[in-house]
Amino acid sequence: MMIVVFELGRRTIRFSGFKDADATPFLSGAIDRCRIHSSKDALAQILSEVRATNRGIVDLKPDVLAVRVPFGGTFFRTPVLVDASVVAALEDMIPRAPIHLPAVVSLIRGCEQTLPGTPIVAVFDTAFFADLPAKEHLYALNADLARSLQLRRFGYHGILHQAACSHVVRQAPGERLRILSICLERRPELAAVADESPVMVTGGATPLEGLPGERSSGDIDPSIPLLLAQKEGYGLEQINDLLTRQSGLLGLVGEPVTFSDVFTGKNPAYESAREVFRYRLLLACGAGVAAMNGLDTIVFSGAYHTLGEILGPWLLSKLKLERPAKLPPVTWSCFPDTIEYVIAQTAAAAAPSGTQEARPAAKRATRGR
Amino acid sequence: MRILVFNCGSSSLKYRLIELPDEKELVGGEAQRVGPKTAEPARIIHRIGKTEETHYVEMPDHAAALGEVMKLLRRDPNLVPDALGHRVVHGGAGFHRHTRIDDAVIEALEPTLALAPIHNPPIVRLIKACRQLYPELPQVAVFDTAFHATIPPHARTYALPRRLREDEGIRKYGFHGISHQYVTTEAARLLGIPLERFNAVSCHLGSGGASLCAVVNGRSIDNTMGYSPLQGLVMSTRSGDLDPAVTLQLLALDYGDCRAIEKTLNSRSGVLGLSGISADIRDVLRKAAESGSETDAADVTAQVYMWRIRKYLGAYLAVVGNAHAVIFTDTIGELVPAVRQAVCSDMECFGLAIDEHRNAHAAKLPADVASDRSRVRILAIATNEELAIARFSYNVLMADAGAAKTGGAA
Repeated sequence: MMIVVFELGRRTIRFSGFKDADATPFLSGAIDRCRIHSSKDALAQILSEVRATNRGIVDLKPDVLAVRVPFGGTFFRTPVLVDASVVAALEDMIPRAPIHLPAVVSLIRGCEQTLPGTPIVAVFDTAFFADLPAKEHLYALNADLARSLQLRRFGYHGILHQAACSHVVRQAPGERLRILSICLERRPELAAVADESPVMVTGGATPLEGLPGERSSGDIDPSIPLLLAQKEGYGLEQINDLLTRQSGLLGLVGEPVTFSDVFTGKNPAYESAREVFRYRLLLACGAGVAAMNGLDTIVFSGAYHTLGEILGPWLLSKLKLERPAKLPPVTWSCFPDTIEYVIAQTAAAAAPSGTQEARPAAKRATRGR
Repeated sequence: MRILVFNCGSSSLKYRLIELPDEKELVGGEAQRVGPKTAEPARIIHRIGKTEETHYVEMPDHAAALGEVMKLLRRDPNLVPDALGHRVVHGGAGFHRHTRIDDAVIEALEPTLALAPIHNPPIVRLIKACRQLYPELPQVAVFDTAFHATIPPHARTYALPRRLREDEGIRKYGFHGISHQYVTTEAARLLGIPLERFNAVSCHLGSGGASLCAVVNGRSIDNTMGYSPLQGLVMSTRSGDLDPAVTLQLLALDYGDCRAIEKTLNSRSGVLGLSGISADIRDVLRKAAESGSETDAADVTAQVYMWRIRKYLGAYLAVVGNAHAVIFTDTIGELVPAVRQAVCSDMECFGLAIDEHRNAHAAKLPADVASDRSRVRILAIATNEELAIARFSYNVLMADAGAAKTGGAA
C-alpha cells in the first residue's frame, strides 16, 4: 500500500510517501508555496515534479492520501476519512485558524480533483487533547469572553504524543502507566498522560505557550505583549513575529540554532540557552507529575527524540520522587518514528478497508478517541 | 528602637509603630480611600492597643494621608519614631537588598516608577514627603523584589531576543518577597533548621494576589510572578498564566487598546472572571459546596484555581529537590483548609501527606498540618508584612551601625 502524507508549512507544502510498513519514505520533498497558485495545485505539481525528476517512480499511485491538520478544535477527536461534511466542518472552523485551515481545505480539494476516488484522511494535531479536563483546558479569563472566542488550551503535538504513549503502553500490557510524554520538535511540548488520557499539556490556545522552542518564546508574562505594544510601539504582527520567530533558542543564543546544536554542541554561548530550556522542562515535569500524582516512565519523541538520551537521565536525577517499593523504578525511552510515518500509519488505519490489500499499520494503529 | 512602618497601597496607607527588637506594636492603623473622592468618605482607622477609632478626613493624596497620620501620632509624646521603614513593591534590577534611603537611593528609584506604575509612584512620593518632614530620621526601603534577587539566570530569563532582555530589562522579577522571606524565616525557626540550609515551597495565597516561591538554602530560586504580578497563579481578578498569543488576540479584538486589555487581564479575569460570582475564592468555594455539581461555574472556578496551585507546587518541589516544608500563608493560605487539602492531597510521590483532621482544625497558627508519616512538613503560618518590614529595617540599621563602628575603628 502506498500512502502520501501532506503537511502545510509556512512557506512550503511538504510531502512524503510511504510504502507498506517501511518507516523510511520512498519519496519526500517540499514545494514552495509561493510557486504555486494555491495549495489546490499542490498534488498535481508534486506528481509532475516526481515524474520530471525521474526518481525511479514512473507512476505515483497512492492508495491513501493523508493531510496533517494543525487545528481541529474540539470537534475532531479522531483522524477522519474526508467527505463533504468534513470539508464543511473545516470551513466552519476557519475563523479559529485563519492561516492554516483555508490552505488545508484547498489542498483537500486539489487532492479530490487530481486523484478522484482516492481516500483522503485528515489527521489532527489537536484531536488527542479534545477531552482535556476543564481544570486544565480553561484559562482564568472572563467566562463569556473565553466562550465567545473559544479561548482554551488545546495542545499541539497530539499525533506524536499519542503514538509514543501507545507504543510505551504496548510494551507494558495491563499496567496503568503514568507517562511524561516529551515531544522534542522545533516547538517542544510536554504532556502528562495517565492511563492513555492526557491530563496536562504545556501547549496552549496556540503552540506558542509552554516550553521555549527554537524560535518561539514559550511562556512569558502575559503583560509583555502589552508592554511591547505600548512602550516599543510595536504592531500586533511585529509582536507575533518577535515571539514566534525571533525568540526561543534564537533569542537566547543570538543566532539560529537547533536543539541538537544547543545540547550536543561545544559552543559556550549555548550553555545559558541549554540551562534555560532544561530548567523549564524540569518545571513542566514537576507540574505533570503533580497532575498524575506520580510517574512511571518518560518517553521522548519528535525530530530530536535522541536528545532524550541526554535529558532522560538528567531528569531522573533531578526528580527525586518517592515510590512504593513494589513498583519498578521510573524509566525513560525514545520513540523514533517520524511525525510523517505516524501520520501515514494513522491514515492507513483510518482509511476504508476496501482500499488496501494489506493493512500494515493496523497493528500499530493509535487509539481513536 | 521605634520603627514607624509604612505599607503604601494605591489608595491606602497602612502604618504601624513597632518597638524593636521586642517586636511590640505601640500603635497602628490604616488610612483608607486616599486619593480622588469615592462613594465612601476617606478615613483613618487608628488603633491603640485594643481600641480602635475612626477619623474622617479629606486625603486627596498620600502626602495628605501622611500629614493626618502624623497628627494622630503626635497626640501622644511617647509615640515618636526613631526610624522609618517603607514597603517598596518594585526595586527593579538595581536593588538586591533592603536599603537605607539616601539621595542616591531616591535617584535609583526613579527608573522603577515605570516598572510598577500603579504602586511605586505613591510610595516614592511618600518617602520624599517623610524625608522633608523628618530629615533627621533614618529611613529604610524594604523591597518586595529583593528576596527574589537570588533567582538564578536560568529561572529569571525569558526566551526573548537579547535586546529586550538586556536593554529593556524584560525578565522575571518576582513579587511578595517580603511575605515569602518572612514566612520562610519563621518556618525554618519553627522546624529548628538553620535558614541557610532550609528548603521549601512558600505559597502566599492572598485574597487579591497570590504567588508561590521556591526556596533553596533560605534563598528564593523562583517565583510564579514574573516581569509583572500578572504571571502565574489564578488570582482574585488577575488571569495569571496565559498563552501570549491570547493577549495578542484580545488586543486585536480591541483594536490595539492596551489599557483596555490590561484592565481585562488585571481586573476582570481570575476568580471573578471565571466564576462570574465573586473575586473571593471563599465565596466561590461556598457556592460550589452548595451546588454540588461539577459543571457549575463556581465548582469549575475552584478546580481551575486549585489545579494551577497544584501544578506549580509540583514544579517547585521538583526544582527544590529536597524540601523540608510547604508553607501556606496570607488570607487564603491561612484561613481556608479546603485549598490546602486539595493542593496537598495525592502528592505522596513528593513526600507530602496532609492530615485531614489537623488541617481542618488548624485554627491557631502556626500549625503543622502534615501527617506524622509525611517527609515534608505542611505549615500554615500567619504572614505579617508590617512586622517583617520593621524587622528587615531594624536589621539594615543595625548592620549599618555595626559597619560604621568597624569603619570608625579602622
